Amino acid sequence: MQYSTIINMQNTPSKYINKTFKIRGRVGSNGSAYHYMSGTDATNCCNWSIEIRVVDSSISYPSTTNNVIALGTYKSSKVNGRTSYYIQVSDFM
Amino acid sequence: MNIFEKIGYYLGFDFVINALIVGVLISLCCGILGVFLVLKRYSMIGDGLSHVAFGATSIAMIVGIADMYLMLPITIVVAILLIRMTNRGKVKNDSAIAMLSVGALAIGYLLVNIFSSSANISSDVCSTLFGSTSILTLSSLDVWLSIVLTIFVLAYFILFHNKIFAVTFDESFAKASGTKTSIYNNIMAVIVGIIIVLAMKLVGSLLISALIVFPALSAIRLFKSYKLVIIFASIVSVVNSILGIFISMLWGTPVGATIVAIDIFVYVICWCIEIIKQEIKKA
Repeated sequence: MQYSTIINMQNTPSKYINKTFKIRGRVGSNGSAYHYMSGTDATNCCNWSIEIRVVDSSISYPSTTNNVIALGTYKSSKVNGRTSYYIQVSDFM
Repeated sequence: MNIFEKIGYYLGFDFVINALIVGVLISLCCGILGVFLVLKRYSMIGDGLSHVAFGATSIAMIVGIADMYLMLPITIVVAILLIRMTNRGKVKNDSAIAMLSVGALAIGYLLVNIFSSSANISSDVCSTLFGSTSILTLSSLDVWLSIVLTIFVLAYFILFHNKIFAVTFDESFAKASGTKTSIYNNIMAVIVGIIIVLAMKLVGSLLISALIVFPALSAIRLFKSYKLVIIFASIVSVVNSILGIFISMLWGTPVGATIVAIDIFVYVICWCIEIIKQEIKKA
């Protein structure tokens, strides 16, 4: 269900904006400002990934090797005329 | 959360509702169609055509258009050609299906590997072959197309059930009594093509035969009447698909394989019931 939900969030984002989600996966980073979570589906052949952002300075991103659960709200932002969607994380478990 | 709360929660997502609607419609059509295909010994045609549809999907992926626009017409054309080829007797049923099946699968996979623009080829292919999550990621076009095509298929079966029955059980007699059997065979080929394309969303390319064959075989084990076989096959197909979708959602199993596993389980139950009935009759 997690894979399907994330795919649907990315295909029809307007239905999921400002909704709260709990996502289990691995945290990754491009080494600087961009962080994401990723995982696979039930057959381990299809992958999903979604950008995550932490705005509360008291919360830090977990190590990129950990399998974590992130709790957050699905948000959108517009940069240079392009809309991007991400999970604004309120907590890592 | 207990199971019922979880189900209630999941039913709040519209992609789950879409999956259930399309799953019920597709399995209903497969249940009815399966009876005719099994009786006419075209059980493996679903397999062959689904592989052709996979080939068409591969081309659609490369070209970058919605797969339905290519899958549907190509699969329908091949279905008509296949049924004509086997009726004329130039190539035997099983050989024709085998040729198309492996050829289309190989060419499709080759093209996806050589020309694909996606970085994750294996997920595109895996999802199409096994339908691991396709039913839960339907677009509005997929849902509406499924509804319209299912209405067409059901209308055909309801309006022409007498002629279909005659052509299925004794084609020579039907032809001799003036029925245009070639027209009914061509329409059946079109319907098979449509249902195969739709069913790929539910169980994937490799498992379609199970969706078509198992409900019909389960019904044939228990009933001798044509009407009862069709009704039972439809009910079994729909119930198994709904169960399979819910089990897949609750326990994270691949949807297609779960539905087929339930189909197999129900078939075994029906087989056991038939054996028990026979033993009781002997006694």
